[in-house]
Amino acid sequence: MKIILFTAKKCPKCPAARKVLREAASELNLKEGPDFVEKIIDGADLPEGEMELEGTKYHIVKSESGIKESPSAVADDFMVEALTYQIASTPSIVIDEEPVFISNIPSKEELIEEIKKRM
Amino acid sequence: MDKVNVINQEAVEDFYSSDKSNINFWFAKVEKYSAQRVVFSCMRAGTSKNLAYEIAEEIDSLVDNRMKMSDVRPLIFALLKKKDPQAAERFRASEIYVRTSAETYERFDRRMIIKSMLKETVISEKDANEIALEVEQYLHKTNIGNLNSALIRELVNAKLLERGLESIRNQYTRIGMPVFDITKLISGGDKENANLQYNPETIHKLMADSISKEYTINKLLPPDIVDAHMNGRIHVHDMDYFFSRPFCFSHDIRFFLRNGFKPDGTGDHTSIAGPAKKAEVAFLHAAKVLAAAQTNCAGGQGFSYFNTFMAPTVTGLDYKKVKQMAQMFIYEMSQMYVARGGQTVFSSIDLDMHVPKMFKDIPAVQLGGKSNGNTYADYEDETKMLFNAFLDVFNDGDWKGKPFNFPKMEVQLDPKDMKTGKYDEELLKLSELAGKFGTPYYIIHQPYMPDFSCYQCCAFLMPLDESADDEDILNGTVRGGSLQVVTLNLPQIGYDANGNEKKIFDLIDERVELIKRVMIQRKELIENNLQKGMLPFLSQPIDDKGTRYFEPSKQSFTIGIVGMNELVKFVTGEELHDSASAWTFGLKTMKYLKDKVAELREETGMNFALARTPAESCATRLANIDIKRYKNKAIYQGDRDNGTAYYTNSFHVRPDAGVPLFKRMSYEGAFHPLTDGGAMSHVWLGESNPNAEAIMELTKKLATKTALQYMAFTKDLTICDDCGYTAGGVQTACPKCKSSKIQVWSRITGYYQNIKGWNKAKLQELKDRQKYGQTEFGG
Repeated sequence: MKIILFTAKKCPKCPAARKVLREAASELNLKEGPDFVEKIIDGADLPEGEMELEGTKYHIVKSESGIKESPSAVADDFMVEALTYQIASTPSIVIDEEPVFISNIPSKEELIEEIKKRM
Repeated sequence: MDKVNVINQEAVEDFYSSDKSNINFWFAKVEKYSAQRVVFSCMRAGTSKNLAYEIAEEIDSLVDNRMKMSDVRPLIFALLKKKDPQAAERFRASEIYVRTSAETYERFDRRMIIKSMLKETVISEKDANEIALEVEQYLHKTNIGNLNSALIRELVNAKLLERGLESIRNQYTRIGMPVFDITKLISGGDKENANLQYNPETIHKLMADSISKEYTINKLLPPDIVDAHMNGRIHVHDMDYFFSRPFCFSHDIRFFLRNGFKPDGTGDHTSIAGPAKKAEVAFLHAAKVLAAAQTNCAGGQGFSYFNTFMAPTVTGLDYKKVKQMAQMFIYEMSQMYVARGGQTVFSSIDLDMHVPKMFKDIPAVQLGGKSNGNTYADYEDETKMLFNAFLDVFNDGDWKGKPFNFPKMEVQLDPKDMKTGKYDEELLKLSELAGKFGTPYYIIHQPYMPDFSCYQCCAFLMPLDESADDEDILNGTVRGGSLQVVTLNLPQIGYDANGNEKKIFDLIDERVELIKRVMIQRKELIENNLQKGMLPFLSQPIDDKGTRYFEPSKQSFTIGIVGMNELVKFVTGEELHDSASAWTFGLKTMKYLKDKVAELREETGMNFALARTPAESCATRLANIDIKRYKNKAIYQGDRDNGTAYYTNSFHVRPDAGVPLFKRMSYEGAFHPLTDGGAMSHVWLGESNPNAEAIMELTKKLATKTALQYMAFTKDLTICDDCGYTAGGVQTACPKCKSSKIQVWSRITGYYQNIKGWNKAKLQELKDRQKYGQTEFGG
């Protein structure tokens, strides 16, 4: 199981998506890093380390392997990667290589359902 | 004449030898002899007054008044030769007559050459004097018959080149066409332009195109840009219209519903119509607006939100009547055979399945041009009725059952509605039409796109939020277009960079810089034309503040690309569809271009836009140039030996790649968000009668599961000239009546055309296109 949440620096709908993903993950016992990861698609210029994202303290890292704590976000230029999933807007969620929610925040229940379908 | 012989037989013969094939010889035949004329002739040749009278007297004793000057002139020459040899030479020269561009004969005068050179070029006076003298001496030596000013210009040009004054020669030269080519055009032997009918308007257009194109190359574009175009680094589109008009434009019919219509923009040369008071008139005005605008623009003319804005005009009409309105409009657009030298207007209409959100609360313009308090939300039924009417008319085809190729018809789809099935009824009807004639173009409002955008002509997305504002939405002046298109040859960048990634990006920077200069020049040129009044339809004021209908600063400047697939192959050894890394390299390159174009916008304040190019001819032109220049290094499709070589258009997957449909659309779909001026993907249908439900399901899948923003289903059509039957696919005879008098139609790039007019490479592409049958829609 691998879930990717694509977010962006200026994205009004992203905080809600971040929240929903982590709630669903905790309910399903999924681990940040190995099971799910948030990627800030236009984050190439964000420095590594702690920073506040919409009121929550985040660990900004430069690669997936750098994720040690939750919540974390990998910040780099992920535009091309997102596009290979047909994603060009945020927030979007990919589950096991399949774009499931594009520019659209699911409810916790919807997300759990989609994840379970693929478990 | 015996008397003449007595004087100097040799001199007389000398005179005739240089003279009798000359027009002056015949011209002088009508001039009667008079002693006074002899005096003038001598003095014009520079003799003293005394000598002139002396010669006149001598001649008068030899001849009589019944003679013509032509009989006497050899005599004058002979006497002058004896008494003032230099004047004799001048006399002979001054007797050369020249047919001028003003359609008169004038006596040759070297000073005219000097004067014109100094006026038209930056040549020094010394060079001008010397060259004029050399030309005069040359004329004396030779025996040119029928001397005209064009010929003298050719001689001057040759002298300029001899002296290395090439740039002055470019200023001084004439532009025209070889007589052979004109004869070929007139005699109908020019097959290269088979997409234009052989008729007098077309012949005039092609002659004018040839001259204006050469003028653009010779006079307007700087040499390094011409060089870049000629060497295929870039392709400057529509050079034949470069000096005059912008490319495409999308109109708002509300402006004309409110204000009426002046076809020439001023009413000086045409009648002036007030706001339409009847539905018929409103639709006719709409048709004529596009035709009028076409005289001021080179590319497509369209209406955005057409059925929404026309909805109030059909209030109270029953469906039959509404369909008649739609039918009338479509017939007008496919039959007014008068645009750009005998063609139909390149037209398009955007249709809405329902009233778009942003117009729901906007006061609706009524017949008579006024508002009555209603907003467009009050015309939901009429909007839908018109939508259905247009679809039904397109579905019926013309009297013979042939599809209408113009106006192009575009429909806006929202992926959200696809999921809920809200407009399934309309979508199914569209799918039927797509399966029958391939007519509709789908604008898919993906989440990443601006709310406010429309496509038109050769499929350019107009980010209308940049060219129109809230006031335009309210006032009925939502409008915009692309002023110029220049294409970047991507494979050549790969060859020049030897596949080195960093070098590729550097070369992109360098060549985009060239394109920027072309765009700035074009913008200034069009602004200048607007100010001079050359584009009166476009410069008409739309308000009391003097705002013009067309503002260059609000137009898009489109940078197109060709051959992403071949660039990727050259650099990675694999094509776009071969591997994830090849595809990713393509996307990375496109992203780089997108960022570069964004920089240009920032830097210049102009709306630069990255787009796919409707590469009808440049895909083959650029491939052929590169094959010649780069030999075996060049990667291309088609065959280099029979003129069918081409580059894959824009970021498309190679037409004959042999990949499943959904994969193909996904590979291409990923590129769509990286354009900001338009992208298009094609689904080539394999069946003669594909099932409408299957097309609908495929549309939904593509709209919701890929990032495609603009697409069309293309069905090849065979139309029988004898029985009028239209069959699917490329056939060799009519399946119904077996006649071999058939036309084959397909979508060339962004519109349907008889393949008779396609260039060889496009015909090759048609063969290469991987067509998908219904069973492959799910793949």
